[in-house]
Amino acid sequence: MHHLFIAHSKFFITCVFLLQFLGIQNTTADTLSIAVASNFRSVMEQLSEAFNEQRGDNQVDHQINISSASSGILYAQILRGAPFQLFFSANESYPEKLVASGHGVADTLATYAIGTLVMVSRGEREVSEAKSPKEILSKAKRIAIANPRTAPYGIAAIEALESLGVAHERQPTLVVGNNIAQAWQFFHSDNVDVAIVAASLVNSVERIEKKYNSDVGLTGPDGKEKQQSLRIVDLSSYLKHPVRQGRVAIKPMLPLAQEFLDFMRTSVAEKIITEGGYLLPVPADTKSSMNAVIIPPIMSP
Amino acid sequence: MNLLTSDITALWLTLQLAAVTTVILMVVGAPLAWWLSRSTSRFASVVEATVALPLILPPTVIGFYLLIAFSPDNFFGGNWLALTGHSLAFTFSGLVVGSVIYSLPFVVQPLQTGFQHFDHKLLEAAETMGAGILDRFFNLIIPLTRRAFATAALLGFAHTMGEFGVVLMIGGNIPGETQVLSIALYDHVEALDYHRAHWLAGGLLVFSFVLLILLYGFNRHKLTNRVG
Repeated sequence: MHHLFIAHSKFFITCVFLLQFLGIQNTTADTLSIAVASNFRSVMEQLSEAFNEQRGDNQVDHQINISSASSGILYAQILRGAPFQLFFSANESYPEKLVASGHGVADTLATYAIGTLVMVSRGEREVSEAKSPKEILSKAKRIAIANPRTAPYGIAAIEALESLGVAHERQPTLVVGNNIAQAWQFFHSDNVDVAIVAASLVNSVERIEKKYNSDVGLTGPDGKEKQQSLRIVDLSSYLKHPVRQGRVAIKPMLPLAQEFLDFMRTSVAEKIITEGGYLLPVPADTKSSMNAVIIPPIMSP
Repeated sequence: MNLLTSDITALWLTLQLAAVTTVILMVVGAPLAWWLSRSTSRFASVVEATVALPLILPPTVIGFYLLIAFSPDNFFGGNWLALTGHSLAFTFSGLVVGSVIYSLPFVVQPLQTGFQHFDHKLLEAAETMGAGILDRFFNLIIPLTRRAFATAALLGFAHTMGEFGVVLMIGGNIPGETQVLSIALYDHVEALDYHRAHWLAGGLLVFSFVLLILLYGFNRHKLTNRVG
């Protein structure tokens, strides 16, 4: 019995030691974990790359982890204690709610980007010959949107369908992605003919294709290149409000998190955001200085 | 509280999916398991390994390949579209295809084990007495391996009820079409609707537990019968 106890305690101590060792391994490097709404993921990846570059030589010992999902899913995870230090949502209300619940740092609350809702269809398909957005939607066999229960872009898509007067009629054709990236993937893999997504996703695909292929076109999931043009319709005018994306730091506030937020205000970062398909919010305190707002490049058909 | 409408739709849909999948799997699985239990060819181990693959593959692998196969540009998806007029992705039929693949080992393996313990001399005897193939199958094989059949059907049904990953990738979360219980539950949890989540999670837990008690109870009963 005594021996057994010793054996057990040795085993226990080894376990504790191992766990601590693993824990130390994780925490020695300064780690910043960022939760980002799926629509902003590719921009966030570029931002973190630029941030690392800028930080460069003075402090190499840090690491940025990016997790993306729909804003509502990330919000729920943070409420349950997920270890994120920064949260970039696709709306303003989730960050506000986190401040109200005591998870968010109040003075880090801000709007970091204004997104554009677009409707995408394939150029050579019959559906794209339609003259109006309403007609495209009426001809579509399947329309991919993000889940309106957890994704602000899903709510925006429903709002656009409602103001176009087709929400009820087109309800059976809606295919709901777990987040906006999945809705876009449904379209990209050619399993739906129309998708209502954030302009940034369409932009990021164009960028990726340019990076890996000399010709711009969509590459299917099977790797086969498809020479296809996209028809993209801006749906902003069918929304009551633009999609304002808010962010907040999560307690406890890390110095590295503050550093990243400061970096977001630099011209380097702002250029990445606008090139990613977003508008910059006009800062409240500099409204009179009429900051130039760059209009994002949205592909024409 | 609108627990009822959409959740009951999801429950009904899930039961339908599990039932259709189980029926298809019993029809396809029984001959396959029979062949596997009898065959001595090397090719049989390849087939056996293929059948077992869904046990260890992440559902995302199956979901990913199915999504590609369903695309109208590919052979399978293209022909399906030409034949039926609609694509397989985000439809109930698509989920049935996914579930049949996903639950295949849960039906084939218990059947195969049952058939291996079957005394083949009995079949030869029946044949000499003039019993046809169907006669032998329904009046000899099924009664003597009914434990294996029950296990296979229950496991296939229960496993399909609990399917999640594959449906998440090929379903598209459409109420009444592809929104099964596990997806509806996930949706409730992520929307922080814990009240409805509790109903579904608790219900699935109790259901699965009862199903397994029935299964093990049935097997134990058979065992004591045989001993006694």
